[in-house]
Amino acid sequence: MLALLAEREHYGLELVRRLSEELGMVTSEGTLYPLLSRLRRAEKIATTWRESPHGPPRRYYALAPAGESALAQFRRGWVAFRTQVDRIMGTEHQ
Amino acid sequence: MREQHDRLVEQYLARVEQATASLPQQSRDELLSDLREHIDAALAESPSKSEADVRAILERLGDPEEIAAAAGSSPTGTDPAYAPGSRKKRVWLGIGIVAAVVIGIVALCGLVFFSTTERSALSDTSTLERLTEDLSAH
Repeated sequence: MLALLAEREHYGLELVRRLSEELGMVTSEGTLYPLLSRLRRAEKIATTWRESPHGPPRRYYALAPAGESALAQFRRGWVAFRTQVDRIMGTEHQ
Repeated sequence: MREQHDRLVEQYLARVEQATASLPQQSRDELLSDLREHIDAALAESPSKSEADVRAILERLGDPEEIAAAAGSSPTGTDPAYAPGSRKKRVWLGIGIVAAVVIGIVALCGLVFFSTTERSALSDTSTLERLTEDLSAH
């Protein structure tokens, strides 16, 4: 979620749809809103209301500074984990 | 038509509201307004705005109970597996299983260790016997 927001800001529906479609996540879309709330409360993401070309105003989500450092930390951790698993599984070059 | 849509949406949100009864009011209101916004935006983007579209949007949002669980609401159902008491019991059961597995592994290692040392001890005695036989033969 933070990685998608690092690309650019998204409005709720757009972000949730991208997560469920592109990543092939099977979870129901509604369960992502509590996660967004938690990230907002932890000040990892910031929200702004903006008018929409069609329909009601939308709440846009963007990465906050705390979110950027959390994402950087996760990226480092993920690379280390992936490298370890690749080594164990013998899948470094696949 | 429009009324039917609203009725479906309101029914859905009422189910979410019911499932999140144990949440703090602020989190609950926030979740409900997020979901309402999602539904409104999705409907605004849907070309036909038919009843099937509304149903599909709600379907994709998912089960209200599941959303409530993701929000940290304790289930309102009577499933005993989720009661706090039995949760504790399950933790203990987990610890018990882990302990049993560890004890089993230690016992197995012990068994393997002793059986190999016993065998090597046996072969040691036979070598010793052979040696003494050789010595006495000379």
